[in-house]
Amino acid sequence: MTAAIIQAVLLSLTVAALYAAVAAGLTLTVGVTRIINFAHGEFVMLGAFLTYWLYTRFGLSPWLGMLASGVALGLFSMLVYRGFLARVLKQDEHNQLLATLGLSILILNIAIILWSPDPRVMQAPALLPSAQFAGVTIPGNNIVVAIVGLLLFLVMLGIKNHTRYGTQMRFASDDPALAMHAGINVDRIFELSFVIGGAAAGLSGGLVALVLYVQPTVGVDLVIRAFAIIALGGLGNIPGALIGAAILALVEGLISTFVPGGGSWGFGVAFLILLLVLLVRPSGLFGKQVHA
Amino acid sequence: MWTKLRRLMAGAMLAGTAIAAPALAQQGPIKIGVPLPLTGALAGGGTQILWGIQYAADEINAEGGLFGRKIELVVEDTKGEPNTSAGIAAKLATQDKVDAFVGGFGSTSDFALLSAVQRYEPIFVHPGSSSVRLEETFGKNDWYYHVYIWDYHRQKAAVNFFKSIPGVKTLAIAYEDKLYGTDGAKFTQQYAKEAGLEVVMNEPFRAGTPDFAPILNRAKGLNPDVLFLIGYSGDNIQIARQAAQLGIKPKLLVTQGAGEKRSDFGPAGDNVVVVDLWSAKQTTPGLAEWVKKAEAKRGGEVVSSAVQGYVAMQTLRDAAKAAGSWDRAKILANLGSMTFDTPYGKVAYTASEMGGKHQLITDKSMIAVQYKPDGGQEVVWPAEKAAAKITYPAP
Repeated sequence: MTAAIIQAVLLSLTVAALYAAVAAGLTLTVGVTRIINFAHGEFVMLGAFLTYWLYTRFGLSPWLGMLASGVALGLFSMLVYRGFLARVLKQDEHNQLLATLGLSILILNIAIILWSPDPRVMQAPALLPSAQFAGVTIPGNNIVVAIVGLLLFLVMLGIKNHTRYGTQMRFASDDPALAMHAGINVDRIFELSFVIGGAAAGLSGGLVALVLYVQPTVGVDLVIRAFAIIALGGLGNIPGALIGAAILALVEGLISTFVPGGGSWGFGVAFLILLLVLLVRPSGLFGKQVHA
Repeated sequence: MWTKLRRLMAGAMLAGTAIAAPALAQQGPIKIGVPLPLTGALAGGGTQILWGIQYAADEINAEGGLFGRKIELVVEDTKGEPNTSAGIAAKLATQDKVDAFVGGFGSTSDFALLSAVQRYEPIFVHPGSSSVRLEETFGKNDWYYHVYIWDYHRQKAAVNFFKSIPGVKTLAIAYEDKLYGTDGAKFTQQYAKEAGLEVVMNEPFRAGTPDFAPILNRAKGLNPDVLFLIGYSGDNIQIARQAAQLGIKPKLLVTQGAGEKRSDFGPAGDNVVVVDLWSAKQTTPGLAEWVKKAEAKRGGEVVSSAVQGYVAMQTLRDAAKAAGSWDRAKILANLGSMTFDTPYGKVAYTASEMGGKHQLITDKSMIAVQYKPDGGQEVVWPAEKAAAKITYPAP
């Protein structure tokens, strides 16, 4: 029983790392630019496909594939931002929502047309050996997900809290007009945060290819969880998102493991907790409280 | 005199036009509405079925069409969503005015599709969906023909297969928590009980979940003789893969075929058994030649769900051909009375157990295929279609 609990907790934490990796870029983008990027899940999906193709067609190690996907999706995000998001940003926020939703549907459908909706599995050898102790097994690729997910979060945190750009991001996010008067190129800072968010999505797509199957719809469920995580942790709050991911994955995993029928309603309970938290703290667990 | 003659000529021309009009109209294509989930969770099976329908339509068109008229497929994406499906049904029937429907996959969305379409009473050949609620609600209609098995056929076949394996006494079921999985689990339990098998686990899961370790660990603790998965292709693959990663080795992992391919599983698929409708390797007369042609056209493996689509379109084609013209009543009568030579063998639409009047495939057509460690696969059940013996328990 103890081994079962330890295994359930550890596996749930590796799943949390996957969710956190997907949420990492999103929370930065949403926190800085206030763009609710519905296409973030599709960016993750594109990263997963790229890692998959690089491995299956060119034999490129998934480690390098992940990095390449990060770079590629960073560049793609730049194109998306410059191509139309920068213009939409100046319009009503409802237009922004519709624009990213439209982009999400567009990318998803193009992916289905190009690559078919069939699931694909990257049959790569595990990047790390499995950890086995006291009757508990944690697959090597889950350990990779935990490490990379955590590193990604630390990098995001480092960029936001310990770099000049991070200071400018926070300033531009708090009051874009004032930041502009202070000589900050707000548009460039917004673009930078969107590109970093896209690169993080590409990299986490590589993680998806490693532990899940690759198909055009793979990002849809993940982005729903990512939005829940950043709402739970507090908009733009990077450590909050990490804790939000852990709560969501642990609740889901433990209910699935120990409650009969839990595999079906663990997901629902996780979102019930989200609703309850938002009822008590509308800004999330670690978000800034706004008082009228 | 001249006036009278002119009137007569004008009358004759008018009559000629009136006679020619329907004939000219009939020179247009025969429109077949094809509503299928081409995006979303069910898209894997949906696109395979579409390929099969398209392949059969291409065959007809390559022969010059039906009665000189080409077959035109009006394909619509239901996304597997009930609301979208209902809207598409109305569009195909009223705007596109299709001559028949060949489509539908995904029980929940197809319920909405058929509810919306039934007022038009079209010729409807349904390649997919197995929920018995569809049979109970729509199966009695003269215009409704169903190719795919109903849940109980598949479950009956699965349990018969389990019973055929010496030493199998206990069964663990993991099922996706929508209509497809819940109905499947319900019937599996019922038939297992009748067959004297003990169901030691019956656990639902959410399609698309990244972590199946909870279900696998629970099954591991119970050590069933068979772990039976009732899910869609991505989930079936993910469960087999995670079981291999976690070192969980059920005595036999059995999945209900949902369009997945052997190559999708990789080494995680070794010794996995798929209870399916059809295999390219089953011993059916004439099948090898059909498979060779179809695979050349497909550019790869032809899976069971593609055959469902093909057979749906094929039976409509053969019934229409025998009718000699696009005559709704004659085509329906032919569909109900003819025997069709298909990749499943010689089959006919017959009555089924829960009210369906026209059911093509039953548990008797089904097979079990075991994935071999060399990357291949063999039919292992039933004995008359089997090319190899089952490896049980899996090493």
